[in-house]
Amino acid sequence: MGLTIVKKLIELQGGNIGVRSKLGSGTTFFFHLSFEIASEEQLNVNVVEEKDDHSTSHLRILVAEDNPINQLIVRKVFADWETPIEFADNGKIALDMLQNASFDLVLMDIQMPEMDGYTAVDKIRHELPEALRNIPIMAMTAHATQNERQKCLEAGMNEYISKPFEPSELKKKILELTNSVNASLNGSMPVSEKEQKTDKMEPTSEASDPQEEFRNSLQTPNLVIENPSIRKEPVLPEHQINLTYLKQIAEGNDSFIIEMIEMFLNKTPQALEKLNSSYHEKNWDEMKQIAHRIKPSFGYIGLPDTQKMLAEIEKLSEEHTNPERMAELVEEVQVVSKSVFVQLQSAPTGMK
Amino acid sequence: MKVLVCEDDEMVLKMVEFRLQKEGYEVHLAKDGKEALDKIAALRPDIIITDIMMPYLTGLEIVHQVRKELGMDTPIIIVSSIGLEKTVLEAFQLGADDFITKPFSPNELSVRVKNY
Repeated sequence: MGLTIVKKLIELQGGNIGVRSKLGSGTTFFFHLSFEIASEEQLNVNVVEEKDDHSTSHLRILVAEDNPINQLIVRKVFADWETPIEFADNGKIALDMLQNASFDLVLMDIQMPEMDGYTAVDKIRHELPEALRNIPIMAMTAHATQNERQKCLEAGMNEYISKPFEPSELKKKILELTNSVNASLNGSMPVSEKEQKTDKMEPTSEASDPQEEFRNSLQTPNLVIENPSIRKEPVLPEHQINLTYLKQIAEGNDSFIIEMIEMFLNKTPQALEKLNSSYHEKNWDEMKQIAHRIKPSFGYIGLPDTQKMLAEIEKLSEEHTNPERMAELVEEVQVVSKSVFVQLQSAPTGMK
Repeated sequence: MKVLVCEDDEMVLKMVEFRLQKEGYEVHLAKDGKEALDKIAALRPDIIITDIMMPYLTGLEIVHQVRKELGMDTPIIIVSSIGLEKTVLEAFQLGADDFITKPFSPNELSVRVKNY
């Protein structure tokens, strides 16, 4: 088979291949290929590409492709990128492999025997275990029409690329798909990689107003994982968040968990500020309302004790009694929340 | 099936919406008592899920409105963090069909909604 492939490859590039063989003596294969001499510019473009520090080498990619020539080309491209890949010859094999090993992305050819790309995607999105359903899938299609693109997206693919593909475009799309928070939450980043990334970022100073800092940091859309304020302080056990409840509801849907965390981080710092200020204004009604409102959310992130503190604040502000105890509680809630905000912003929420 | 969820806590709202949509319900949301009544009248949902403490009207007042003023027998499930016995009793007296305390198990909510 190798010979057929080589012959095909050479002829595709406009060359020819021949062989000289003598029994008992040896065999010589030879071929002719013509190439243009590259200009300086063209060479520089390639050099720039190599210096590209956006690496895909931390990813493990499943390539569903039955054509051996295409497999060769894909193999070479990913070898250049030092990115591990594995092949599946059809959709059915791809499904099996997804369930037996961990991948960060699927490159899915459409035309395959036994089970084609559309069928395979459908099964991945609906029949595989929940934790696998959201894996990024990029279609590889020989038909670059708008129609085909629409069909791919509607079938459940995240992206598509036409064959023959331009390697830099493929890489760009892979990075886009896997740099989204969902993808990183599938546990693809090895720990060392994560630590390298955080080293590059500025260390957090002891913020004068941590609530302000967190509110400002909420400008960034990709909240989890990317935030630099990851303190290395150990977390007190009573401050330790627990995402089990949210994970139970999410049943593998990581974006749900992210949205819940974002909601918590968007609302809680301001609410705590108001809690504090209404205490100082002796506005007990407002205190009661705020405490009541934010109380459940601490339960959702696994902090029943903090929830109880807020319940006590609620009760005390209803009775207008014991302001010293109220002050104690308000302060304690703020202390816990500081730690909680940091933990949430670096929380690994993946199911793996 | 159309479900209206009335709840002022956005996180609870999101959780319930997420879970019910997964189960195939058409989910509508209301963030306070006033919006709740408007949507009940406009949408005529098949099931109403409501919290008790909400701006403008409480969940109990909503039960009263739906049963007495609007005369609808739409199933109403109350989801509340107030678990006092007298509140629960009052809810049923006013005509609620079910009462779940928060924090609730999503499975429990799902199973109860299925009953109606």
